Amino acid sequence: MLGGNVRVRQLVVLLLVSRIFTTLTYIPQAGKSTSGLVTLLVNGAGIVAAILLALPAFVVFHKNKGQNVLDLSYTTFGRVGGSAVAGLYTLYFLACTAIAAAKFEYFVTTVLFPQSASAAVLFTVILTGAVIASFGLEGISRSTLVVMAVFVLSLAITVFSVFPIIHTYNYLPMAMGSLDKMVYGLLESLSQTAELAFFMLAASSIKGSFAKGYCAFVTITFAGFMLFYLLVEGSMGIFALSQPFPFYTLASIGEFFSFERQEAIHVSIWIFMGTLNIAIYVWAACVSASYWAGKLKKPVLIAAVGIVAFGLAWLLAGNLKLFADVLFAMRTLIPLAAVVFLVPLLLLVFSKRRAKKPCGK
Amino acid sequence: MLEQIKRRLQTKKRQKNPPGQTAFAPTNPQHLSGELTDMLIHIRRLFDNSGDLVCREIQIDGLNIAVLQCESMVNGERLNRAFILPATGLTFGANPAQEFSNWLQSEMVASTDQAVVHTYEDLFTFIMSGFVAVLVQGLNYGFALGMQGYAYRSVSEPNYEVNERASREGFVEPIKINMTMIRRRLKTPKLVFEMLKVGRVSHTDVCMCYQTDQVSRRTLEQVRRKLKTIDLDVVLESGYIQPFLEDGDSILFSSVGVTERPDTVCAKVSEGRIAVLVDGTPFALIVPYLFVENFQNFDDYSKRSYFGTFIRWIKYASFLFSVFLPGLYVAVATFHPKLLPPVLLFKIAAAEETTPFSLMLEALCIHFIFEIMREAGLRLPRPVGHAVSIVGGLVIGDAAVTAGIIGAPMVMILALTAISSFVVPSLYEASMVLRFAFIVLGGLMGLYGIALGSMIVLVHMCAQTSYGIPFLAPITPFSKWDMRDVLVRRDWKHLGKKTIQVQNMPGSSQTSEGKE
Repeated sequence: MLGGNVRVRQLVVLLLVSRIFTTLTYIPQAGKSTSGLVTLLVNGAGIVAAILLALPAFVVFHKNKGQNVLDLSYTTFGRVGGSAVAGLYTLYFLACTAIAAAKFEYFVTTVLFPQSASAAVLFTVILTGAVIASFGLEGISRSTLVVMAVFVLSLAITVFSVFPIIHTYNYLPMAMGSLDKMVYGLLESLSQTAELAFFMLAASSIKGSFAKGYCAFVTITFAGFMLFYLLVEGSMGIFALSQPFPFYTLASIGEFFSFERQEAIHVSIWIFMGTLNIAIYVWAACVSASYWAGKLKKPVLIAAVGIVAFGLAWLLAGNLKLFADVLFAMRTLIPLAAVVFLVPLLLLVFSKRRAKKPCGK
Repeated sequence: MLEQIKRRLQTKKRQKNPPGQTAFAPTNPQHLSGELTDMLIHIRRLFDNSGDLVCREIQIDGLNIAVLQCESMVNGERLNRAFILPATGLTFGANPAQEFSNWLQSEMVASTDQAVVHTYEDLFTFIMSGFVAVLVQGLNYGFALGMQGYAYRSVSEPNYEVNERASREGFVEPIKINMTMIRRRLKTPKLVFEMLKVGRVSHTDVCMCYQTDQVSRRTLEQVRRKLKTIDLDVVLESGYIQPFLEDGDSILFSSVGVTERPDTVCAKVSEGRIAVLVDGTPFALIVPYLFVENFQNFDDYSKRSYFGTFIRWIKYASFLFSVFLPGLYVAVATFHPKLLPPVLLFKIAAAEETTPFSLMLEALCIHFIFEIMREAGLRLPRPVGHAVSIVGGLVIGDAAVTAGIIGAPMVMILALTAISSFVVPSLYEASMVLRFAFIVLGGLMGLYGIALGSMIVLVHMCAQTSYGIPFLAPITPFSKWDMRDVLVRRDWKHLGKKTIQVQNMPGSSQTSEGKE
């Protein structure tokens, strides 16, 4: 499932597409994050924080080109340690898949098909994600150029549609932001940066600089948040905070010449990105699982990951309190830090210790 | 367990009948004996006294000679004039057989296409290819003289690739004539025709055509290996060997191109591709083959660049219509009617109000009926073929709508879809399958289902390769230079600036010589 060559800019575009979907389906009421112009500060801090979080990974992959985090774990920690790390990554990506699928289900059942069964939506989207994941990283990353081109067109139409109704008085002043909300907002946006873990897993397939690719991704992502905020709050003001999906509302209120209510078209394009979002997590979970369950054939592995992810997503979608608790747990940054900060740090420490030991001992 | 048993049975079968072996040539090929009578008896026995084998025994200055041919495959007048008449006037010395052999190989100029034959298998292959076989008493080898005179269809305009401003020549069935059509257009010694035989029973001539200074050696080796390992009894059409040349991940879209035109083959070969000609069929195969090539044809390059670009975009739009239009109509009309302008919505609602079926079922039925009519139109003799169009137009276009079984908008959608699908005929099969799939997805899940299906198809196409070259190159991976013949058709002053080599497309794992 690994192998193949992916250019770093293709991977950046892939992860951007995946992240954009998360941004477009952001629910303001789900957290206590900040709003107003202070969001711009939070996003700026987010770039710095995301890069700081990745510093151990930068050093590790600068020293070990052509290997991914699991290859290095097996080399450094041995079979048992490597399997433990692979298991950790598998669980993390399964959780990401389930959360992404549950959020997707919530979006679709709220916006498109309010009467539909959540199991049906979860099943179709996870099945699609699993099928896409089976095509491999190269195929997925090549498809993102087309998806991104279509999305940019859709975004341009949306911006053009709402531009006449953007007013500067809609922006809440900076003074309205509080420090705890700023911190909360920073933690929330960082907790969704699972893409670093994905970068670390795909490192053996990347042609290009790991560090540059990740920094470019982070910068563009947070710049995108700022644009999103400027559009949404500039056109809807404080009303945006009461909407479950503000960007969806934005797409539906815009008028493009004589065409109104185009949100169904935009949502269809967003669904492309949503399926990619789930597909990359399914792929990552399968790749991680293949390290400790290598005897399973690829279709069986994908099916197993899909079934587990479906089960977890169904649990989350059916129990909002559990979903909120899981999201809170992710916002503490403990799972993310374990995967993207602690593991690379241990790799650095243990590889240095191994290098210091004299031969034969 | 089942897989292991299957593999063992296949190995045993291959050991019993290795590829390339025929009934005439078991494990050890039989050599000619030199005793003319014995040889003729053996040949007649192996031919099972078939009525088309003509055997003429003559004596020249005491030397017994047999001339064998398949009836109506040889140019009789040339045989008589160039071989029989001169040969009957020969006189020999002490070693008549050897003298005759020397004369035939050095002095007789009736045919430049001569071969020396040592085994019965080779003898039969030559005889059945229209050669004249000459066996001589005392020689344990024979001669095959190329004097073919069988009837074949004359060169005419290709049926499936019609162009306004391009050559009117299309390939015909004999492979040698097809080879000459290519050679006349590419007058370079770098153009090579590599002959192979495929088919245990049919021994069909297959030719790999490529330019040595353009082709990728790795691709060439792959194609050669695939052709040599084809395990079929008979090969009657290039479609038989096409699946063997495709990459394993080609499900919907073929990574092997098909063409009837020699000018197209020349253009592709000069870009580093390999053409595979098959004797007995006018359809040549081209590898590697990319998705964007389905939208390129000769008229694009003969017309002015702005018009060529416009036609290119019409083809892209037609393909998208033929795949998505019915599914989108079903999805929008069933699940998202608010997308339609009110006036249009009322008209559609009024038309569909009286129909007994759901839009999805209506779309599936009417498209299925259209496929039946299309197939009937292909198979019917021409005088009767007009009846199909009348029946189709009356039954579907008028009677069904008047009776209220289907709605008029659906008929219009069908008409536009059908016409669009014929603009790019090479993608007809894939577009038909996708069309039905999207109708079902749109009917069950609306735009959501179409979006999911589209993503799967898109990623599948992106993951597909053709001999190591991404199938969607140069769209993705993107190459600005190579897009000058995709999104637009730049004029020849720009197109001719740099030689295109398909193996140097972005993302390719094959490279041309000197770049590996």
